[in-house]
Amino acid sequence: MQVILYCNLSDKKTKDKIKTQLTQPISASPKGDIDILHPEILLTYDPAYITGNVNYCYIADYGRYYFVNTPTLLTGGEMLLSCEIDVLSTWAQYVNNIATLIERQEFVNSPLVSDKKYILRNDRYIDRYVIGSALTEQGYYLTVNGGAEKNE
Amino acid sequence: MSNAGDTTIDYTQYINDVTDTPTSGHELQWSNPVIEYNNNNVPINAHLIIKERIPMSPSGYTIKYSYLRIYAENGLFIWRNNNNGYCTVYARTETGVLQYTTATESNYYNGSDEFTACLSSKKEWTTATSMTWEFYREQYVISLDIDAPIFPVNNMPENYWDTGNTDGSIDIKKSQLNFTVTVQPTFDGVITVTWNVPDDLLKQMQYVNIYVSPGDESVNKVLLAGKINYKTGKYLTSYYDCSQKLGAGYIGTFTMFINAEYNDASVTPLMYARLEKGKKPMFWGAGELTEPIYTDICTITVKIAGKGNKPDAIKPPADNNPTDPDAETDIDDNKIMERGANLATTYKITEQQLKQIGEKLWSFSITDIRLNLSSAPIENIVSIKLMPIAQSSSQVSQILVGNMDTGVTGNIVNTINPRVIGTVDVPGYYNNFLDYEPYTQCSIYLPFAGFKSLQSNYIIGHAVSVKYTYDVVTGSCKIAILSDNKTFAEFDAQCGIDLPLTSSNRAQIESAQLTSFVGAVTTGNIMPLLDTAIKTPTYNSTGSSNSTCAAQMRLKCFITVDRPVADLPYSFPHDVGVYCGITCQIGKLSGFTMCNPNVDLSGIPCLAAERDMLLDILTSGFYA
Repeated sequence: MQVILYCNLSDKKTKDKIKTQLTQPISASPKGDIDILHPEILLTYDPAYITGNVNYCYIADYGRYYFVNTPTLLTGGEMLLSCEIDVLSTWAQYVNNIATLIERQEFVNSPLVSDKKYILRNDRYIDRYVIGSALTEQGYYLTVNGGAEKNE
Repeated sequence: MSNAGDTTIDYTQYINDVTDTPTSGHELQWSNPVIEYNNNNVPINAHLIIKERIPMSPSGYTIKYSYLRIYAENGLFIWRNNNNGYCTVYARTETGVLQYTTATESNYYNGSDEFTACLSSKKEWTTATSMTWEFYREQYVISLDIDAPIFPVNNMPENYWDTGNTDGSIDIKKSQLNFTVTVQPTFDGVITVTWNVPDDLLKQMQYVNIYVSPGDESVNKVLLAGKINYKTGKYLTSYYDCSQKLGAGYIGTFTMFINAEYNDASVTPLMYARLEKGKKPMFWGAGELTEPIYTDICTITVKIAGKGNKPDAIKPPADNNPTDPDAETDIDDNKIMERGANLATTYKITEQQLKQIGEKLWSFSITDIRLNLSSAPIENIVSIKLMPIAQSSSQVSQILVGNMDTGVTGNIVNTINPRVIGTVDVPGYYNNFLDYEPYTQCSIYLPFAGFKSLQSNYIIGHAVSVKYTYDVVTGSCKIAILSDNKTFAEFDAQCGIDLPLTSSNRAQIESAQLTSFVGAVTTGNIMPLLDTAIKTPTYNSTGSSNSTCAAQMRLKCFITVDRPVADLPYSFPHDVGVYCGITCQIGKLSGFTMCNPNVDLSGIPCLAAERDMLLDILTSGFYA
C-alpha cells in the first residue's frame, strides 16, 4: 500500500488540517488483520519521520486520512504506525456540502436568541435614564359650579 | 483560437442589428467566437458574429453582420434540439421574441448533435440579447443557470418572459447535485468521479455522462467515456483508460465533461476537469465553482431550480410598518373629553387671587350669610387644587361663586390637560439577548405613582416617552408610557393637592357657624363668630394625602435598567461557540461549529461506524 506521512499541526476536531507533507507516497504493509478504522502499518524506518514529528498519514488504498497515535520503532529497521481514522478530514468534501441547522458557531450567530452557555456574574449593572421632571411649574385651579361670564 | 479578423469586440453598437425582426427567408449563420481568456488561459468570455442572410428583391442576398455578446448572467433558459443537429435559438428582445435558426453546417459548432442553448430571462433584457456560454477548446458548453426555470424542447417560454409564469417548465425540485472528482495524489492513478443524488431528484435523473476530450487542441474530439446509472454514484477511470478511449497511444492532457441526464431534459454541463499527468488537475464548472481551481479533489454543487414544495422557513415578524408616516402615534394624540362647559367652570388662578377669593368668601356680613345660608357661595366650589401644571389661557373671566361675584378674574382653562414629561433613548448594552428579559429588567419611577415595572423589550433600543394627563378637577392623572410614540403601559395616580376651601365637612362648618351665630345673637357678641369664620375654619382635606406626600418626594421621572454582567472570556466563541440557529452549508463556515443532533448525513459513502463518528464530531463541535 502507498502511504503519505504528514506532520499535522491542527486539532483533531479541525476539518481542514494544517499539515506538512513529510514524504512522497511510500510503500507500507499492513500488520496482521486490518481494521480500516484503526489500521496498523509497517514501513521502513527513516529518522526523518521522527524528527519530522510524523503524526498523520494518508493511506491511498483506503482513501482515508489517519491520525498516527503511536509510531513504534521495531528491530530490523521497521516502524509500526498505530493509526486511527480521521473521519472529519476523510469525508470533508461531503461534510462541506451538508446544509444543516447549525447550533453553535464561532462567527455566525443569532444574537437575539438566548444562549444558555453565556457566563453571567451574580452582580448587576444599574443604569438610570432621566426622562424629565413632572414638576416644572404649578398652578392653582378653582372649579365652580355654573358657567363663567366671559369678560375678555 | 480567436477568429481571424474579428478584432473589434465592441458589440453594443450592433445590438440593434440583432434585434431587427427578420422576415421570412432570413438566415443566420454564426461565426467562430472571439474569445477572451483569463490569466490561466481559460476562456471567460466570447463574442460571436452573426451573419444574417437577407433575401433581396428580385433575387440574391445581402449579408448583414451583427455581433452578439455572450456572457454569464443569472436567469437563463435552456433547452436542446437533437433534430438532425439543427439548433433553434430563441432570443428575447425589446420588441418581441425572435427566432433564429442555424444549421450545424455553420462553423460555430463541431458537428455533434449535442447542443444546448441558453437564453437570458426577462430581467436581463434591457439592452441586448444575452447568452451564457463557456468555452473549452472551441467546445461550446453552455452554463446552467441555477435560478431560472428550465423549459423543454420546443416550449417557448414566452409567458415567462412576459409575465413570469413558469407553466410548461420542467418540474425539477430545487436540490443540489454534488459531484466530486478525485485524482489520486500520484496524478497517474485512479480517477474517481462520485456524485450525490438527492432523493428528490432520484425519479428524474437517469444517467451521469462522462465525456473525455483530448487535451491536444488540434484534435477535435469528444467521446463519451461512460454512461453510468445515477444510482451507482461513482465512476472509476484512469489516465490509461482515458488514453485508450481517445486512441491508442494517446498521451497528454485530456478534459472530462460531466453532466446529468434527466427524464425530460438534459442539463449540461455540471463540471469539467482538465487532467494532465504530473500536474494538478484543473477544475471548473457551472455550479458554485466559477473560477478554475487547481486541486486534487474538487466538489461542485449544482443547484437545480424548479417548482419545489419545500415550505419556506419561518421568519420573525417585521416591525409594524415603522416608517409609515401615517402610522399611529400616541404622543401627539391630545384629544380630550371635556365636561359640559356650562355645568362647571375651571379657572387657573394665582396664589394672590386665591387669597382674594378666600377673603371675599369670608367677608360677608351676618345678614348676607343668613340671607344666603341655603345657597352659600362656598357650596358652589367644586374643588380647589394645586396641580403640577400651569395652563395658559387667554380666556379671562370674572370668577363667579354661586351668585356671588368675587371681583377676581381668572383664566378659564380645560379641566383635562395632557403634558409630555420628556423622552429618552435607552440603548442596548450588549446588543443581544442579554438586553432583554429575563436577563435585563426595566422599571420606571413615575412621580406621584412610584416605581413601576416595564417590559424591557419596549424599553431597550427605543425612545421612551412619558405623558401625564391631568384632571385639574379631581387632581388625578393618567400616566402613559410610550415606546417610539406608541403607548404600551398606563398608570393612574393622584397628583393634585387639595386646598382647604372646599370640604366634605362643609355641613359641620355651616353647622358650627350657625351655632356660633345663634350663640352670638343670644349673647350679643358676634365678634367670635367672625373671627372663627374668617380665621379658624376647621377643614379636612377632601383629597388623598398621598398626593401631598408624593409632592414631597422625587419629582423627576426616570427609567432604571437592571442589567446582567456578562463575563465572557475572549476565547468563548472559539472554544464554545455562540448560539447560531441558522441553516447553513458547513463548507461556507469557518471556526468552531456545532451541528444539530439531527444532522442528515445521507449521501456520504462512508462506513456505518464512520457515520456514527462523524455524527458525534459534528454534534459535539468541530473547527470548520
